[in-house]
Amino acid sequence: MSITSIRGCIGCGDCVRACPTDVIRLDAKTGKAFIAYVEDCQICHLCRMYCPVDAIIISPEKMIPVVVSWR
Amino acid sequence: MKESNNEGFSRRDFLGIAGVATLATVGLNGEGESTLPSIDPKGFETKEYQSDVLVIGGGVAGVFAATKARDAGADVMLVVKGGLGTSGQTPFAKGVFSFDAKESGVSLDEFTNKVSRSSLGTNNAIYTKQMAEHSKARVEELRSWGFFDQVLCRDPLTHPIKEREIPVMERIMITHLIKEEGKIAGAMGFGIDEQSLYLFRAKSVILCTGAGGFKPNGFPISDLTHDGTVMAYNIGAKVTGKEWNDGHVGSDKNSAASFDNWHGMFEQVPSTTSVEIRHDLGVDLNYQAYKKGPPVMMGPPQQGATFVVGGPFRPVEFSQMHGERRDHPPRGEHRGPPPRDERRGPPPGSNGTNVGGASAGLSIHKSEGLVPINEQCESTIQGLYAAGDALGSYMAGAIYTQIGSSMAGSSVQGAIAGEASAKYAKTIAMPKIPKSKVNKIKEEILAPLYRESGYSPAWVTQTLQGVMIPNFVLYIKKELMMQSALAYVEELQSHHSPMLKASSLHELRLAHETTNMILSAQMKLKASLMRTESRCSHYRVDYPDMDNENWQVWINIYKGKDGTMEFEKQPFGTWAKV
Amino acid sequence: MQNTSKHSTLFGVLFIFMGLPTLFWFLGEYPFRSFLKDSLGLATLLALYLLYLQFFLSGIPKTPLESYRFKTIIRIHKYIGYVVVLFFMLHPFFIVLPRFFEAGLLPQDALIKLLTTFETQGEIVGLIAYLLIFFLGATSLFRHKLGMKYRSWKLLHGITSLLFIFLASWHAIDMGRHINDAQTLWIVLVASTASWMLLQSYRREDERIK
Repeated sequence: MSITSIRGCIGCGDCVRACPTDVIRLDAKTGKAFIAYVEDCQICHLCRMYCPVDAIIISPEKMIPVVVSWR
Repeated sequence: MKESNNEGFSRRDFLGIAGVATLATVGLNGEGESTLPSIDPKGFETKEYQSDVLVIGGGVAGVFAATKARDAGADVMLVVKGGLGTSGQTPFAKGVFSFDAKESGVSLDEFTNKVSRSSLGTNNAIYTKQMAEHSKARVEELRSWGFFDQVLCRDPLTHPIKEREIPVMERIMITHLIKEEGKIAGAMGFGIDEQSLYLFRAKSVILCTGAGGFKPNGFPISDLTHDGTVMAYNIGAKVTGKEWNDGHVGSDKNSAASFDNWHGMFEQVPSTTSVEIRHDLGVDLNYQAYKKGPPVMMGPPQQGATFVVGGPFRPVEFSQMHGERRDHPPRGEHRGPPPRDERRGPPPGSNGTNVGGASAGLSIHKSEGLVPINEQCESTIQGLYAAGDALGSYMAGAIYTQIGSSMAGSSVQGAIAGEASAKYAKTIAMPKIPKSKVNKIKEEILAPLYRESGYSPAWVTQTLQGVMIPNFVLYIKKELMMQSALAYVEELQSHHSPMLKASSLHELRLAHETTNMILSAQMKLKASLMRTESRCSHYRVDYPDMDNENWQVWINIYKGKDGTMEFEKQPFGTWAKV
Repeated sequence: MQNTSKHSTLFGVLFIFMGLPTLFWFLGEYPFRSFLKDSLGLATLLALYLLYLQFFLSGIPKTPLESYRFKTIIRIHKYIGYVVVLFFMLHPFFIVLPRFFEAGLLPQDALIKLLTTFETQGEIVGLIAYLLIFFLGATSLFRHKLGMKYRSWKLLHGITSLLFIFLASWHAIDMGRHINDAQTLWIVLVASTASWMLLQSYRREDERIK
């Protein structure tokens, strides 16, 4: 299901800035990143690669139905 | 000593127990539901900024534009929808073309001519030559910023911006360009993180907003929705290149996984490429799928790919198919890989069957976007420049020709546009923007938040994808089918676009992106209907041949006086008229 | 007879400090990341429990380990102490270590970011605990050079350890990526038992002095 979990977040916010499609946000209370809009995840892994503590797990499966040109 | 567990309560005991209680609370609260603050459409304040040059977009073109405009003496600001160096296609580009006549044994003119042959005349030779001529200098600058030293490009691309103390504003979506007295006057948009509107007054604006697609599955371009093209079109700029297609395919398994589709390429350190002119990313596989039906495989016939006679014309000297591309390095090797194309599809035969539409809605690099009126990347609107994939420079033509030239071209054009716009900015005074105009734009930006009922942007986008992405609509074109699709798209345009509803800033962004994609779909269908021939990445079954008599022209699109979409032909090798 | 009891004590220790934590770790069904990452993750978790075990190996009377010789207990305590302190001194480096073998942020950049970010409670608490572990290690290694009376050193060591495991447990529960509710409860239980035991020993000492 695209980006799956964020565990061990230190709240640096780099994944929020790195995500091209605004999937991740910081929780105002805890300061930690959370998956806010998973359906928009394009599974590009930028967030994971930018995370200094490697907190992000991503699966290759998309959350919403996938439209392709043929199947 | 006797055990005295239950005798009285010492202060230490109390502290210990309090500690345990705190621990327990912290622990169990660790994974609570996170929410975002709700939005009050009336609570937006407008923040105002001013600069000589405003650069919109934070990819490689935007960085060069801002850097060179600053070096030319302009006061510059850079605003980007996502993050600097983490937006658009730049983060995923791993090959940058560096032209060296001596090393390659190919002269500048020979190079340009060969690109023109592969692109069947669709390229703008001046931009082709310009890219090659300046590529090495830009590559060396990138190298000095550390671009070729690591996988991620945020820090290398931030380097020159920081060095020059250029203000960068991230996570702001610009939705409107502002034109006053026939000239560009600024831009306006909204913040994605907090309830703010942003008004930028500027003498000159450079669009480095990239191209776009229909948020397709399997390609990391979901943030690219033709924002620049559409906002420029709305103030009267001419745009071009909508009939061309980028023919990237994805994997049958987990088609939406951009990262996995590229088999580790996103994990590679960028490197340079040298002269290698091809005829890539057309719709050959789409034709194969259309004729034979799935499954479709990449690669030469012995690896399972079938060869279909007919289909898109490919010049003999460029007769290799997708699958016969250079071998990839072993997987997992990401430090110092051999030169690669920054936009290559999955390696041949490595993952079985392919599905189409990975980059649906995207044209060939630099073939779509604002129409330039000269080699300075200037658009048909005075003071408005564009660079990289936002500029319809036809640097590569309507087919992807030189490997790695996309990054090189964006860098070169960014630099040229930066310098030109700084020079232009010196000649004019800071424009004034009437309050009434700002208020009107504010209303347009926030409208989806005010709607109490309306359509969800995500649903409208999915509907648009369903209409546009099928192979028989977007790729293997024919009149009746395109007319039918156009009926759907025009319905979305006239009825759904004005009724998009948003309840968060994220959704507000989606609403504007959806509107832009719908307009782009309309342009794509109409331009494709107009071009009654087949050439490069535009293929029509009802007009399968190239028609050199009537179609040695580019199609420009602009907004007519009454607001309708107008089309014009511009002969290859000429400049557009303002 | 005594041997059997020793064996069952040893078995109990292993079960409480190794077995159950590992079981909870497995029951969490965390997605596989890589052999290196998962090994480091499990090692870190077990190292934390070894720290709790240290409280039981500190020579405090009235613990289940009373049947062992004091000298043996203290020797094990020292041995585990230095190894685990070293391990936790390397904890931030272990977090960025896998970056040497995969694409992404450069390990040195990740480390700097990690040590200079003070945005979340768990992270700040962790950094304080990180400083404390240096303090604990140094004051133990150079105990004789400190010129402190054994009794005062012991108190300093105990109080620092208490503070440390409080912060470390907080940090682990808040930030640990392999921490589920069962693990959380077990950490709280073991940590509070350990703390309580130490505090009890202080009270007994108080009473004796009076």
